Amino acid sequence: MKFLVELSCRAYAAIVSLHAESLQYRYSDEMKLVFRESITEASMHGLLAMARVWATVAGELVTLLGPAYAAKAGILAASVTCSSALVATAAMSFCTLGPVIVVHGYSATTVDTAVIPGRKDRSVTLPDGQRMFLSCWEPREIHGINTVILASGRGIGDHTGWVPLQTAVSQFARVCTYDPVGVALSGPGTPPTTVDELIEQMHGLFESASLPKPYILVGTSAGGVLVRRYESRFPGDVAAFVFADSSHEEMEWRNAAIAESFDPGWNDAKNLRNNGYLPKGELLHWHDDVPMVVLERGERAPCNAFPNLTRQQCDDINDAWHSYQVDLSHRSKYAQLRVVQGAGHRMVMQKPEAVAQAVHDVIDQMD
Amino acid sequence: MTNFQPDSNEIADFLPLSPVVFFVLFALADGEKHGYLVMQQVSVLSDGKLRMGPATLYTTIQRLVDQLLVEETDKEAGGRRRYYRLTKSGQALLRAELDRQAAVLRLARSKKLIPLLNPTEDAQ
Repeated sequence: MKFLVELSCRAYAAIVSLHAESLQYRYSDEMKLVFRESITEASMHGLLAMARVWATVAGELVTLLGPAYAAKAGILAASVTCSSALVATAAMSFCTLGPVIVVHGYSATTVDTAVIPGRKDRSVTLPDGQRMFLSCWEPREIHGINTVILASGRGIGDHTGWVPLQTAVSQFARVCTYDPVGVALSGPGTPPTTVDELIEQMHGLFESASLPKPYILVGTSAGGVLVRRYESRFPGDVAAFVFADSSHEEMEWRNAAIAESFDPGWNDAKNLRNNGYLPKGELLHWHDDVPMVVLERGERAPCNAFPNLTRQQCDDINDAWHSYQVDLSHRSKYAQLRVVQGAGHRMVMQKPEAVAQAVHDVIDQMD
Repeated sequence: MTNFQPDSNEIADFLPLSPVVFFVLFALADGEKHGYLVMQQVSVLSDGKLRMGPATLYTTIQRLVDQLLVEETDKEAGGRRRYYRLTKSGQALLRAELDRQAAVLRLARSKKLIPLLNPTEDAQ
């Protein structure tokens, strides 16, 4: 039995190398360890239990890698058929054939960012000695000297959340993103707890890396508040904005007027200050006459996601969100409001091409 | 611990959670765990219905870490083993999913599609 366990572990080590590179890079050791623990425990219950572990591994191998490999080979129809067959099989077995063995995860990404010619990833030392990860991509020929900044640290996860948009924008402009200190690839350090702390880190990074100015700032969700606040702090650095379903500085107290339960922290002064939101009754005075595109989600937030709100409150919250986007589109005399059909709040992931088009258009306006 | 403030709109876009994501978050709800423990816990919590392999587990963990819903801890575990826990955003997302499920359950009960869990409530 011990021999079988060792043989299984060796075979599994070979299988791990088939998975997506990013998964291997971060987790291959742990995956092998977890497999060893699973197969060792199964071996105590006999060959059938070991076969069950292998069946699970085989199932996830097909589910995770099948569609990605099929798509890579250009067999789109086969990929769709393969995925559909797996979904149908899993659904049927769930209902009628006993415990599910195949568990659906995410298939490996097919965007190969390593081959983008002008990609430069580096770790930059800030004036205070801390380090930040910076990822800048650019096309072979750049028109203009500006830099598009995809603002991380508020409203999106780490820099990888921008990959689809960064890929699209890098076809026509220099485009950079980063991880705040202590987050993801920036390595050790204490992450910023306030939006102002984050702004100082961003500025330190852009200066230390000598990113060509002026900047076109792109912010999504709470990242919209972040980039407006950045401009207030360093007004000379910013030449244009793209807001992708941006939050609004007044929204905490305005939403609370509709339904206090929407965000229980709406009146917490520290929470508001840390995130750049305004206290009850205070109005946003920010205005900047530069090229600006305000992108609004085309799909309203589904009311079943807010079980604590009545239907009326949910509708009012959705209407208020629209009013915030309209308000932002009056914050520059050059601003445009565009509704992105088919996009929800995670527009950057859902419709990166629409956001890239907006970036393209504000750069055109600057010329 | 990072202090990214998830707004309600952001959370709404994640819902409903897939069974795998839900059970991984659920498994971490009562404290930090290493991968194998998460895998075992998912099997127990789902009454053996969800059996996931290492690749599904770590693809899910990778995505959750990238979305700042789960984070690695500093706990020294020896060797190559790492521990994971929910971030504030991860806790908020799990709470929102549980609220959503509770609302669905309430609706189904009000329509008498499923029997009441507590028969004494039926009598009242």
